Amino acid sequence: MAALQCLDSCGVAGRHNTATKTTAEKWKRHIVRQLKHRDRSQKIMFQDVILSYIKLLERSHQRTLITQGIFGSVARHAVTKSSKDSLTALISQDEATVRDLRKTSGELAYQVVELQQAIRIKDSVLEEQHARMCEVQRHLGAVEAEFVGLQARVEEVREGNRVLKREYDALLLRHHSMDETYRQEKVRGSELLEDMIQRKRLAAVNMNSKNEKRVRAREANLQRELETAAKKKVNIDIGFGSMPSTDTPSTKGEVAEKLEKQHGRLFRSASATSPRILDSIKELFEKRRRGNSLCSLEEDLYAPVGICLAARVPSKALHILDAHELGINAVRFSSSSNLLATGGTDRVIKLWDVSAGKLNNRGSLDGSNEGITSIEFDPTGTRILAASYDKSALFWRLDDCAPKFTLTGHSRKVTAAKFKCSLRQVVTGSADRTVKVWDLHRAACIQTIEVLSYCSDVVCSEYFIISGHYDRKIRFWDSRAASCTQEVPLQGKVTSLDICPDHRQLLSCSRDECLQVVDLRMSNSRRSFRADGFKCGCDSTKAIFSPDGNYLAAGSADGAVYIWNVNSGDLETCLPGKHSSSINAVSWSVSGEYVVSVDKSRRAVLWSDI
Amino acid sequence: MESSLELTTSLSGTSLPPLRSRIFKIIVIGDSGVGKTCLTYRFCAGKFPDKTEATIGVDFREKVIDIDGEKIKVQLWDTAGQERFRKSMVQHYYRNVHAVVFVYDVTNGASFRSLPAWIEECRQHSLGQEVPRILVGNKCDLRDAVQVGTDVAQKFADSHSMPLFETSAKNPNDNDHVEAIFMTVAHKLKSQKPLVLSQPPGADSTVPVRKREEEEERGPWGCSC
Repeated sequence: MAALQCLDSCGVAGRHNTATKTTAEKWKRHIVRQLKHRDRSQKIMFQDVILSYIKLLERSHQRTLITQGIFGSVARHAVTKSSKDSLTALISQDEATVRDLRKTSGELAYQVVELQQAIRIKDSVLEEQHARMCEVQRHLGAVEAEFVGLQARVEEVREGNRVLKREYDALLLRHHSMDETYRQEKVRGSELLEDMIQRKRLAAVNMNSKNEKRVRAREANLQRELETAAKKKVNIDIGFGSMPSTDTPSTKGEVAEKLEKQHGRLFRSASATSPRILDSIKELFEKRRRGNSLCSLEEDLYAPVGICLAARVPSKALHILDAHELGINAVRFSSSSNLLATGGTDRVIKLWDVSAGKLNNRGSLDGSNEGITSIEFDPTGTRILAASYDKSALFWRLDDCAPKFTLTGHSRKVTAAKFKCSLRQVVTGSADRTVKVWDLHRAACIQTIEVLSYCSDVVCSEYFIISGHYDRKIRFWDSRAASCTQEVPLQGKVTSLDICPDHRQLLSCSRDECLQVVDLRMSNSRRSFRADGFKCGCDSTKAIFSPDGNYLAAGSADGAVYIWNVNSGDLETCLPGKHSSSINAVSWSVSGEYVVSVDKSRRAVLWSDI
Repeated sequence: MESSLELTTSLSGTSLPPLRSRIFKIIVIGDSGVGKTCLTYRFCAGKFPDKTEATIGVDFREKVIDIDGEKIKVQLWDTAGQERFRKSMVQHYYRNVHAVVFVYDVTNGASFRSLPAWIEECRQHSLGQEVPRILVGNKCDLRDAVQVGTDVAQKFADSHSMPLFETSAKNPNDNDHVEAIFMTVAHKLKSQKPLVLSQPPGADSTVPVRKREEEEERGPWGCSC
C-alpha cells in the first residue's frame, strides 16, 4: 500500500510534467500490475495463518460476548436492584453526551449554513465574473472587428500612398524635364538677347557711319560749291574769310605746303614784316589740322599733323625733376606738343603734361616687363608704341593704361619701334640682328628682315626702312622687296637715327662723337657735326632733328645738351650744368617751343627759350 | 513703327536726291518705363502706340520736318532704359550726337532722382556744353499720381540749364505739344552753326582730341604775332 501511495505521489509529481504524462501512466499501470502480482503470491503463503487467525479472533469474540451476556444480566439485576444511582449517572452521562452531540450538530448545522452562504457568495461572484467575461468577450469581438477594419484601411491607405508616390515620381520627372527645358529656354533667350543687342549695336554703328558719310558728303558738296564760288574771288584774304566753317583739307593743305616750300625758312622773318600773310597761313594750317583730325584716323595714309614754322632754340631750363625711379632711356613729345612721354629702366612709361613751364604727371602706362628702350607717338597723338628690353614692342591707346598689343617675336631686346607711314604697320629693330614689320590690325609679324648686325635704331620712310648698326653702317632696305639697297659706312657704332620731318634728310649719331646728316636724295652728300666736349654717352644715345629741320640736338656724356644749326653747320648753343650724368635722349616739341632731355640718373629737364 | 520709319525715309529719299537734307541725331535717354518709346513714336507716327515692350539696344525713328523752308531729317535714337539692354552700346549712342532729350516719369520719383546719373553718363562721354539738352517729364495726364512737382523739376532743370517740358505721350490733345518739344530742339539745332563732326571718326579716345581742340584755340605755333 505504501508503494502505491508513493506511486501516487510520483504520479502527482509526474502529472506536472505533461510531457511525460503518458509514459508515467504506462509505468504506473505496469507497477500496479507488478505489485498486485507480488501481493497475490505472498498472500498465498500466509493465507492459512490469516484464516486461522481470523477463526481465533471470531472465537475469542464469541467468548467475550458470552461472558458479557452473563455479566450483563448480573449487572442488570444489580442495577435494578441495587444501584439506582449508577443508572442516573449513566443517564446523566448519556445526557451529557447527547448535549455534546446536539451542540456539535448545532455547530455543524451552523457551519453548513455558513458554508452555504459562502457558496452563494461565491456563486454570485462567479456569476458576476462570468457576466464580466462575457462582456469582455463581446468587447474583444468588437475590437477585433475594428482591428480588421483598421487593417483594411491601412492597406487601403498604403495602396493610396503607392499610387500617390507613383504620381509624385512621374510629376517629379516631368518637373525635371520642364526645369531642363526652362533652363535651355533661358539660355536660348539670353543668347537671342545677346544676338539682338549685337544686331542693334551694328545697326547703331551703321547709322552712325551713315550719318557721318552724309555729313561728309554734305560738307564735300558745300566745299565744292564754295570752291567754285571762291574761284571767282580775286582777293585771297576775303576768300579765306568767306569760308568760315568748311574744311578744305586737300587743296588748302597743298597750297600751304607749296607756300612753305617756296618760302623755305623765311617764315620767321616774315612774321615780323607781314603779319597778315602769316595770319592767313596760320589759318590755313589750322584748317588743315582740323581737316586731319576729321579723317586722318580713318585713312591709313600718313598725314603730318603739324608742321613747325620755326623751332626756337632753348636757352634755359624751366623745370628739372627726377621723373623716374631709375635711369630714363627714351623721351618723346606727342604731336600735340604739350604731351610728353618718358620711358625708363624702371619699366614704366610716364605721361607728362607741359603747362606753365612745368611737367605735370598725367599718368603712366604699365605692361613692359623690362626697361623701355624707345617710345614713339603716332601722328594723331592718341597711341604710343614702345620698345622694351623684354624682347617685345608694346602698343597702347592713351585712354587705357594696359597695352593693347604686345608684339613678341624678337629673340633679344628690341631697340626701336616705329610707326610706318601707313599707321597700320609698325617696324621694330632688335639686337637679334633682325628688323620686323608688324601689322597692328592682326597684331602679327608680317615680315622679318635679316639685317646682318646688331640693330641699334630704325626709321621708316614711305617705301624704305633705314637701320643703324653696331658694325658702323647705316643700311637702307626696300620694304617691299626686303633687300638692302644701300649701305652708308660711318666711323663708329651707330647709336641712333632720326629722319627730318620733310623726309629729305637722315640724321645719325655714332660712337665717334659725330652726328651725320645724309641727304636722302643724294646719299653721297653728307655733312658731319662735331663739337668740342660732345661725347656720345652710350650705345643708344639719341640725337634728333628739330621739328622744322633746322637744328640738331643731342645730349652728351658730360650732361650738356648740344644744338647745332643744320644750315650753317656750326654749334648753335650748348646747355650745360643741369644734368649730372650722361644724357640718353632728347625730344623737341612739334611746336618748336620746348626741348626735354633725360639722363641716366633719372632726371628730366624741360628747356625753353623764354 | 516700321512703317512710319519707312514712310519717313522714303519721303526724304524722294524729296531731296542731290543735296541731301541735314540730319539731326537726337538721343532720348532716361530710366526704363518712363515712356521714351511712346514719346518718340508719338512724334514720328503722330499717335500713341498700342503696346510697347522694353526697347533692346536702340530703335531708330526718323521724321522729316520743315524748318524755315529747309527740310531737316530728325533722327531720334530711342535708347534702351534697362542697363542690360544697353550696356555694350552706350558709346554708339553718344557718337556725333546733336542733342540729348532726358525723359523722366512725373509719376515715378525714382526716375527723376536718377537724372543726375544720366547727366553724368553724358558727361563721361564728353559731350560738350554746346550740345543742347532738354528735360521732358512724361505721363503728366496721370494727374492724381504725380510724384514729381513741376517746381522741383523746374529747379533741377534750371540748375543744369536745360529747358523743362511736361507732357504726355498718351493724351490725344497733347499731340502738338510733343511735336513742339522736338521742334524746339530742331530749331535750336538749326540756329546753331552749320554742323561739323564733333569727333574724328574712329577715335575712341576722346581726351587727346579735346586737348587738340583746346590747343587749336590757343594757337600752338607760339609765334608772337
